[in-house]
Amino acid sequence: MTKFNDQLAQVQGPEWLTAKRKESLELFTALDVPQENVEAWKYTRVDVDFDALRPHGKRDVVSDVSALPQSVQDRLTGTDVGAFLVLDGPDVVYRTELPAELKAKGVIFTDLKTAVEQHADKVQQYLYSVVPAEVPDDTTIAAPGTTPSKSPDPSEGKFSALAAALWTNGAFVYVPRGVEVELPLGSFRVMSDAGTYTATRTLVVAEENAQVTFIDEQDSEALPGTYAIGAVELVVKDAARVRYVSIQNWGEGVTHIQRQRGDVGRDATLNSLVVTMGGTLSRTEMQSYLRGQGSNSEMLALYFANRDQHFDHYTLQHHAAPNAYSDLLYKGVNNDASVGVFSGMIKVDLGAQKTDAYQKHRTLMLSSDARNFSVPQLEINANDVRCSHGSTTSPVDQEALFFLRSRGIAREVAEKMLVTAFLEDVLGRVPLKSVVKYIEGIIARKVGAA
Amino acid sequence: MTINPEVNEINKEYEYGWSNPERYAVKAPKGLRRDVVEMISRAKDEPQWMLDFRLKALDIFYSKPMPTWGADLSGLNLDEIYYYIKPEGANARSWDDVPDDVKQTFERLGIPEAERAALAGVGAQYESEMVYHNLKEEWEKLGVVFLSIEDGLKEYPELFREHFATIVPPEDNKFAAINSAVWSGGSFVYVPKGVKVDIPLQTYFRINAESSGQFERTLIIIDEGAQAHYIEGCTAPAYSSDSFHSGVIEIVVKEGARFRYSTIQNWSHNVYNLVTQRAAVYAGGVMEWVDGNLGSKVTMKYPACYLLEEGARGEVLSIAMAGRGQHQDAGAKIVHFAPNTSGTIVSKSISKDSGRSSYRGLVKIYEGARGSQTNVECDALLLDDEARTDTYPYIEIEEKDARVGHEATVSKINDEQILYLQSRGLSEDEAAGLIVRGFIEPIAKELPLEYAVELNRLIELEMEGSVG
Repeated sequence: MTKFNDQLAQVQGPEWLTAKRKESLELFTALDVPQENVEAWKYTRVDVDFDALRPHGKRDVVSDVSALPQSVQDRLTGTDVGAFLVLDGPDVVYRTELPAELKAKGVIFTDLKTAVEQHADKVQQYLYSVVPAEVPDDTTIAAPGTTPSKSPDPSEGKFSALAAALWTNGAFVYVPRGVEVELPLGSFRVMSDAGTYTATRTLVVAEENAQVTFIDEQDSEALPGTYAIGAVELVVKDAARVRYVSIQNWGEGVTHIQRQRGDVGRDATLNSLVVTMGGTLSRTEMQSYLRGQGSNSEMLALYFANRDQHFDHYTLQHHAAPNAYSDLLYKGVNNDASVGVFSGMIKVDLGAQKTDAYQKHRTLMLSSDARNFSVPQLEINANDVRCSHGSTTSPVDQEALFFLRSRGIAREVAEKMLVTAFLEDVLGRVPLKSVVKYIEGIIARKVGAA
Repeated sequence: MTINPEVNEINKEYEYGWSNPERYAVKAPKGLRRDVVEMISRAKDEPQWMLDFRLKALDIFYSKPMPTWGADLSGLNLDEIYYYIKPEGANARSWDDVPDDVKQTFERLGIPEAERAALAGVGAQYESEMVYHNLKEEWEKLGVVFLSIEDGLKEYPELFREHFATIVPPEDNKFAAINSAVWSGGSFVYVPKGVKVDIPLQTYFRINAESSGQFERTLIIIDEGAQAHYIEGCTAPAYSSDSFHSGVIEIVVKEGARFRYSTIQNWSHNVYNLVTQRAAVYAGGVMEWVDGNLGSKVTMKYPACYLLEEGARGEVLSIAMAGRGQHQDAGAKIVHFAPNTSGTIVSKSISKDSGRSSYRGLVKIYEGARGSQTNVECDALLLDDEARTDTYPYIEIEEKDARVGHEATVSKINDEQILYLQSRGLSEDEAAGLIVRGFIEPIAKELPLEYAVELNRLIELEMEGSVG
């Protein structure tokens, strides 16, 4: 682990941050990679030799879009984000500025490293507050005398500890009280150095009654033996509205491990969309901690796994306050010899009366070499609630297929149409035209309908 | 017969909480030890292979960790349990030969009456041994076998050995290993080809001594085209120290056969009830588990159907009711090994007063089990604001041409329904009782009438004063 200590020396920062990083690295060193006996990691093994990993090489800052990788250029031409950062590996290589009127209203959008220097108090207040190094203790709060629920296993903090210790950069968004940011903000992350790792973080803070949309996109060429470790912290204060979109389209060979978590205040709303298409091993956690009364969380995801891709989606809807609402819809397709894992938990603490919590997971199986594991779970400690979950796994609807074929559409084309429709169903709930169009393009390429 | 006053309080509503003075032919020392295992085997005059099997299982038990999932077992001290207690006068064929206090126990529980009324055969287990086992002559004539497991081993050694521990091997889990090492009592049932036993066989299990363990082992073979229904009931006295029940039930449902196994578990609230129940189902066979868990302190029990050949079907109907201090961790497993197999799981749970009921289940479809499907439905009813419920379903699919659906809902008793029933002249308790009965109706209706009545009565008893 001396190597990581060396790297620790290289990631600079003020004293409070350095201390935090050091503490996180100690935790990382003390923890095992989660094994099969850890319920939250039952179906996903990460086989990584940390000693053999080196950090992703630094890339020069470019002053013009034309100097960016072609894939980023292509993407940027179709985006409607109001401002963005481009990260290649550990650091920012290109950026656009926030419109002056937003700056004037006090909105901050910059990279995290700069924010540590220029907005130290804000960063210190919120960084690690939602996704700390250790696994958040989401043990369900139950009535005294009832048998306790299992607490998370400490090893679930292995990768978040790494992300806390060795993050190099990422995005920082701060929206002051009552300010609404119309156009989305975004970060485009690429990697270009095989056999390495990067650790990045995103921190979004929406103050009372503020509104913002943030889009996190990840894209690369094939990169064997490459690791992208991430943490996304979403602070949604009372009556604020945050929409967060994560689109993971890494190249073959990439292992993506990211914990995304929102802390949702009173009457606040967090909408999330997770799109998983790329990488070879992908573990994306989306957690909504509904702290405030009347808070609201919509959690959407879609994924298409083919070849030997292994996608693991872990979700948490933790109702810690009364009158909150959460609704989850995850849809996935498994083709070839891919593996899909969905493990979703609804927790309702004692006293969180009038909770409405819903969870739906739908899987299409296109191949008998594929595997799908679905574990939709409930832990309910309040009685005046409406909670339900449903999970279905099935092949393509034979009747719909028959109908299309009877209209003269070839079997293969009809199947692709049905798969596309199955996934795009989720997008109907996302009011972001340009991003939806981009995602549709990825789906089409993946389905083979483009 | 006295009620232990210390625990009278926590078991207020438990009407089977009395106990007899202890009088035993053999009582092994506490703890799970090699000499205890050898003593059990000797007491049963077993063949060498069974002793070897037990000792191997003991090693497996030592080597396996306690489960890290499921209920909280930290209060279960395996060193403080009596693993073998043989009552006087074990295994009578005539009710007259059963010792008086044991006889009175079962008469209070209504066993001989039940036999006279509507059963094809009755067994009764007291502590570690079957004290009574009898099958009506008409069924005996058709070749039906209904014996204690020990007599099964003695009288049908080949049939026994062919199937014993093939469905639940001792390696399966730590508690199956305990049972394999110290098993005692349970039933051995064989229904010959084509024979349809149309009224139920029943066995009743009673723990009497304090800190007692009961490890019954049941092996049931339903031959091709045959049919039967087996019912088990269980109670124990309300002691202040915990008792431990860990049974293993193995069932073979051969081609075209049909079998139903019903349990109404009403152990006192100081029993750890950790049971492995599994059926192997062959071509076109149907296995149904009807599983009612009302009693015990902690139950971990997931009746399983392994659908091994084409067209096999498995059904599990499960009811759990958890009151103060109880955790019912119950569920089901349906595993599809062959094409065109199907399954249904319906689970209904009721929690009140900080009681916790959890559904834990597995649906697995192996590659090649084309055209298979299972549907799971879990409904939980929470009676007050301290009650809790969990759902932990595992769905593992390895086949494209397969369909699995899982739905779970959680709700409380609907205020409007209560109000409506009150407006019709029912008290609040009566109204709540009626709603709960309606909630479990889909499962209660699958039980023979007298058991459905008993189930409703037990739930009503548990429900008294529980709404508000």
